[in-house]
Order: sequence, then C-alpha cells, then structure tokens
Amino acid sequence: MTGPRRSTLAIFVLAPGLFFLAVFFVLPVLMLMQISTWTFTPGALMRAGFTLEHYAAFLTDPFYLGKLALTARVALVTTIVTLVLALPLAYWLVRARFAGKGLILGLVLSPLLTNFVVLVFAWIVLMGDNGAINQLLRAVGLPAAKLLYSETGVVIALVHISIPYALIPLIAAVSQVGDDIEAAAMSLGASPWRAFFAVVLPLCGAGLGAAAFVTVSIVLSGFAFALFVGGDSVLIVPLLIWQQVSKTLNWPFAAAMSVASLVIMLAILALGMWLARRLGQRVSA
Amino acid sequence: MAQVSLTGLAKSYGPSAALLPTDLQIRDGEFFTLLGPSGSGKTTLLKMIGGFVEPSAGRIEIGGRDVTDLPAHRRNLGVVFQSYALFPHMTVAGNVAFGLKMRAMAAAERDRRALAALDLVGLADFAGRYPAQLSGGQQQRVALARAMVIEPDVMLLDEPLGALDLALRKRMQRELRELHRKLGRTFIYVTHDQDEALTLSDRIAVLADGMIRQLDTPQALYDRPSSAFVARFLGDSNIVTGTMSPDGFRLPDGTSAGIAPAGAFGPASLAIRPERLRLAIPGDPGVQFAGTVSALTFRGAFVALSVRLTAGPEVDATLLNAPSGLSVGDSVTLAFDPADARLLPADEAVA
Repeated sequence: MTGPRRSTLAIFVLAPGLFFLAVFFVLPVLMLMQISTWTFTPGALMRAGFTLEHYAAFLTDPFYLGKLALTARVALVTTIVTLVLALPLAYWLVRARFAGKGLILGLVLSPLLTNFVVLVFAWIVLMGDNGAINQLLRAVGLPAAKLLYSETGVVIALVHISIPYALIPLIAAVSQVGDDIEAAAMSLGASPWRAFFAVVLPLCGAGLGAAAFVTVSIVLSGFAFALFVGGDSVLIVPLLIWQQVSKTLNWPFAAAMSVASLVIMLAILALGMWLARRLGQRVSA
Repeated sequence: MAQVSLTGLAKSYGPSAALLPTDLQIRDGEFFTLLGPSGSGKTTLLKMIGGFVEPSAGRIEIGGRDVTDLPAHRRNLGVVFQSYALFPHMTVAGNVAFGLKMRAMAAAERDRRALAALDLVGLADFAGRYPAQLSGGQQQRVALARAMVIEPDVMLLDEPLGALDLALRKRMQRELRELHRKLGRTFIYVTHDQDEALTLSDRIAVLADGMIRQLDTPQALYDRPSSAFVARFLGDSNIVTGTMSPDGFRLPDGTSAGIAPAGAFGPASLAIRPERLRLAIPGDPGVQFAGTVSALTFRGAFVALSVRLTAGPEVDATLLNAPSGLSVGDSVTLAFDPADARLLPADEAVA
C-alpha cells in the first residue's frame, strides 16, 4: 500500500476516537477553563466575563491552601504506600511458581469488579469505631484508632482502590525484566536484594511512573471515596469542588479549582517522570 | 581456575526427574561441553552449577570448595546466557564494570579493567553505547567480557550462540576457542548443536533423558559411539538393526554381515558412518552389501547416495568419487572395513 493511501486509511480509523475525545474531553476542558474566568453572583449562578478572582481566592486563601496541602499529602502518602505494597506483590505474582496463583491475582484485582457501594460498606464495617480493625486492636490490648472520618482512613481506602490499578502496569513492567537479567546480576556478585534494587527496580521505572500516575489520578478524581470514608473531616480538593458544584452552586470557583488541580497534577506527573529518569541514570552511572 | 566435581547431583520437579543422579569431573582449564536435545537435563545441570537451581540431591565442588549450599552471588562464576541478559539501562562499560562494582573495587581500577576486557573482545570503542545500540554478536561479546572481567573460577555458557545466524555463529565459535586459550579457564558449555560441540570442546558429555549417555573427546565420541542415540546425535549414522548370533552379526533377513560375534547374543545394531561406506571394487576386502540405489543427490564435493539393501534396510552413503553414470535404480554393492563399524546394544527407546 502506498504512503498517502495508508494515511487516508489512518484518518478514517482514528476519526471516531478523535471525535469522541474532542467532544467529550477537549471541549469540556476548554469550557471549564472559560467558566473558571466568569463571574459568580449568588442566586444568578454565573455570568460571562473575565476575572481571575477565583484562582486568586483558591491559591491565596489560607483555608484553601491548607486543603491543597492536605490533598497533596493524601496523594503523596497514598501513592507511596500503594507503590511500596504493589511492587513486591507484582514481583511475587510474576516470579513465583505455585498452584492457585490465578486465584490470588483474581482476589487482588477483585476491587475492580466490585460495586462502589459494596466497597464503601466494607470500609465502614472494617474501619468504624467498633469495626473489625478496632476490635482486633482491642483484642491484642492496643488502643483503638480513629479510622473512619480520618485522614488515615481515607488513605487506607484510596490505597485499597488504587492497588489493583497500580498492579496492572507493574505486573507488565516486572514481566519485561527477564529471569536471566536477575540471574546475571547475581552471578556477578549481587545479592538478591542488590540485584532487585540495581537492576529490577530501575527497569521497572516506566511501570512505576504509570502506577504512580494512575494512583494520583484516583486520589484527585475519586471524591466519592473521600466523601464516604472521610466525610467533612478530610476535605480534599475533589470534595471541595463537589461541594461548590452541588451545594454552593459557585460553578466558576469549582471550575477554577478543577483547572488548578489539573495543572498541579500534570506538574507532579512531569516531576515524577523526571525523578524516574534520574533514578535510572544514577543506578547505571 | 578450578576443576568442577559433581557427586550424585540430581534434580527432580515433583515426580519428573530433570537430572538423574550424576557424577562428573570437569578438569581445570578444560573446555567441557554438555550436549543434548532439549529436555535432556543439560541446562538444569548448568543452572545447578551456577546456583540458580537448587539440587534435589548431591554435591557440587568447585576448585575443591563445596558450593552446594552457596548462593549464586558467592560462587564467583562467569555466566553467559543465550538471551545475553545485558542490563539495558546501563552502558556497555557499565555492564562490564557491574561485577567489579559488586566487589567494591575502586572506580578507576574498575574502569581500567572493564575497558581491558572490552578490548579483549574487540569492543573497546563501544564502551559508551547502550546494549540496544549493538548487534546480536556485539551484545554477546559484551556479555562475555562482563562474565570474564570478574576473573571467575569457571565460565558457564548456556547456548551463548543460539540466537545468532549461522555465519556469525561460526566466527564466534572461533573467537570463543581463542578466548578459552587466552584465559586458560575452565569453560562449561551447553549446546544442542553437535557441530558446535565437536568444534569447540576438549571433552563432551552427551545427555539424554536426564542422564549422561557418553563422555569422551569429540573424536572418540564420533568414532566410537556407545549407543545408537549417540551415533545418531553426533553426525549422521546408519543404524542397521539385526541379531547377534554365535557365527556373527546377521541382518533382519538372516544374511550374515561378516562381522565376528561380539557382546551378548540377541538383538543388536550395527552403526556405520555414511562416509565410511564405498562402492565395492573387484576383490574388495571389506564387508559387502548388495542393494539398489533409491536416491542420489549431487552435493558438489560429494554425492549423497541412499541404497535399499537386498537384506531390507536402507542406508546412506557419502561418496567422494562416484561414477558419473550412476543413477536411481542401479544395482550397487557397498563395502566397508569392519573396523569402521560399531556394534551397539539393541536400540533404546531414545529418539
């Protein structure tokens, strides 16, 4: 097939997907950016115009700055805990040879197939003041922990939801690192731990980046998890946006917070990728 | 620099045995090859020496030191894999220096030795490249340099040329031989390629079904195979089945083959290399078989002939000087010297 004809075909094949993306993603984001500069009058919803007051309010008000910091902390802790738990799990699921591996993989991925209401119910049963976790803590003589409606509880719920999503790119990444590569490192004198950190970990850099990105996305988009587990006590930015949209009805301010979060998240992503590259270079130096 | 001594070494996965209890002495400085088809246990054996597979039973000694329970990273072995197994995120120099880094060698000395090792395999100019920027042959040379720079007691090579094309493989065979001579270290080499084994090795152990079938020099294995399996696996061989009777070897139809009785009476096989067969000349002193030409291929330097013997079996003969008029359907008489034939016990069930 000749070049021009191939590109014509490519346009036909890609057109529906590009059209869908344009209508349902690019256009709303552009509209969101526009609305974020409109003015808000209580009772009148919003009025066309141009103002940056919503951005100024969001990025200077100590209350919102505090919530932004809280959101960043929740996102960071959730991401780190998720990666620290998911990478060894992915490694084990790829490398270990035993019967019933598929069953364990299915269990780990089951939150993906579980209804949201069931998950929330499970968290409440587990993390309530008289929930399973606290009963266990009391049984071994430890003080009860405040989990439900606390930052810790929100992080636990977000980690739980994130692990299966993080596991998928990590399993792919570990599978790409051949057994022989690890065996080679060990034959050259690297202990299994050293082989893991010097060879396996850097080679999983891209997978770790993808997993981190997915986890941060879940934290920043999954306001419902934070709402049910954290209530009003863990007001991360997605929850604030939701409040502005559905209760205060200040849509321009909600739009400004959304755009600001999007920019911050893209910045975090860029930073993460830069760090992953640095890690790879440092180990190889 | 060390000899390798295996005592009763065995590996089984559940009920299936990958390697039956095996005793083996590999001499210091020897180029030793484990040759066999896939599933013969040769790779399992190598991986146990390397410390990547835990033996089910037996002992491994390297240079007089019992390493059976020593983890791979403390055995001081140079391992070369078929997949090269280079670290893709490190440069060529970084790959070669890795083992020295693990030995906590100072950076300057490390770099000097890495470069010297790369020089030995002719890749000193490629030190700054990444493995993905090299050809397969170059990658395998880097893997060799990386394995030998740590001055291992023994080099283990697991089908290192298996992924290369034929021409490159031939050249790398020569380079490996040369490298072995220069380093003077013990090489243990795994391959399923009999040609490679014959070319490279000081001694070869032929494996099948988890056990060593025969262990000898290439010449001895080729000339004096102890079983039909080895005769067929190393080069081409005609295996004629028949019976050993008190008056000598008999073909299936009862024809005497003129071979003196030897070994136990009963079913037996006669192995003869195609190049040891000739067209009988008048008054030929050799053993003679009459037959009809069933296939004839001109191969340049020689003519490959298949002859259906009057006695039943079909044999292949390689003739350097075939008469020009010879064609399919002609009656011929083949002859060979009894010393060139090997009497073997009845064919085992090995393919």
